[in-house]
Amino acid sequence: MKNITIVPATGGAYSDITIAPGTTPRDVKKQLNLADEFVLTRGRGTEPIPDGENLYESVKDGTKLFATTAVEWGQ
Amino acid sequence: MITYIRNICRWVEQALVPDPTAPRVEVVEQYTIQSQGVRRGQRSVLVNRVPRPYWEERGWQKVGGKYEGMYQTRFGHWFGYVTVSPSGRVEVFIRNPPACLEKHPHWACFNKRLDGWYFIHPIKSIADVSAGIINVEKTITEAYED
Repeated sequence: MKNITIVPATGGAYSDITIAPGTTPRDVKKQLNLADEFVLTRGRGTEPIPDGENLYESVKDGTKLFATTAVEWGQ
Repeated sequence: MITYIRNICRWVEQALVPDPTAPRVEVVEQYTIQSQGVRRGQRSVLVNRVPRPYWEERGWQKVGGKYEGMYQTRFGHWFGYVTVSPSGRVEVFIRNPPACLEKHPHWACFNKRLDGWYFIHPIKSIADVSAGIINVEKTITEAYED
């Protein structure tokens, strides 16, 4: 098991969660009642973590992730 | 006499060859550095985390209805500001964006303004200031990595 923290990028209460092997961002969003358009990211220019990725493998214990909405630039 | 000499040689050999069962490292003294937060007899102190939005964590400042700061990536920092209208419309600006962005598919969304400033046009309305900043940082990183 790993402990991670989900921070709403807009501010607000942190969510400390424990994830088991195989947990995906989709599972986390469902657990935290976050809408589908939210993405989990480390910020600082990193790509959002894909919804189907095995989060357990890609994060370390104690990682902080931001929950934010994706923005698409266009004319 | 020969036996005597042989005994002396054996004694010398035994004295020079180390005992294989003897420990290789001898610990003379041991000490443990105590954690600064937790000392013997003291209870640990749980530090309260202040829930901050992303823009604040990244050092942006709110000046009136305008948020000013720097887009931060591992490739560098760029000045920016984000405005939020009374109706909640979020607009994102960057000053002197990196030249590599000009080859990015979204470069056409960077509309030039005065003094090196660019307005970045979103397809849909941006939910909040932090989302705008995070996504500009992501776009800059993409431009450098491509």
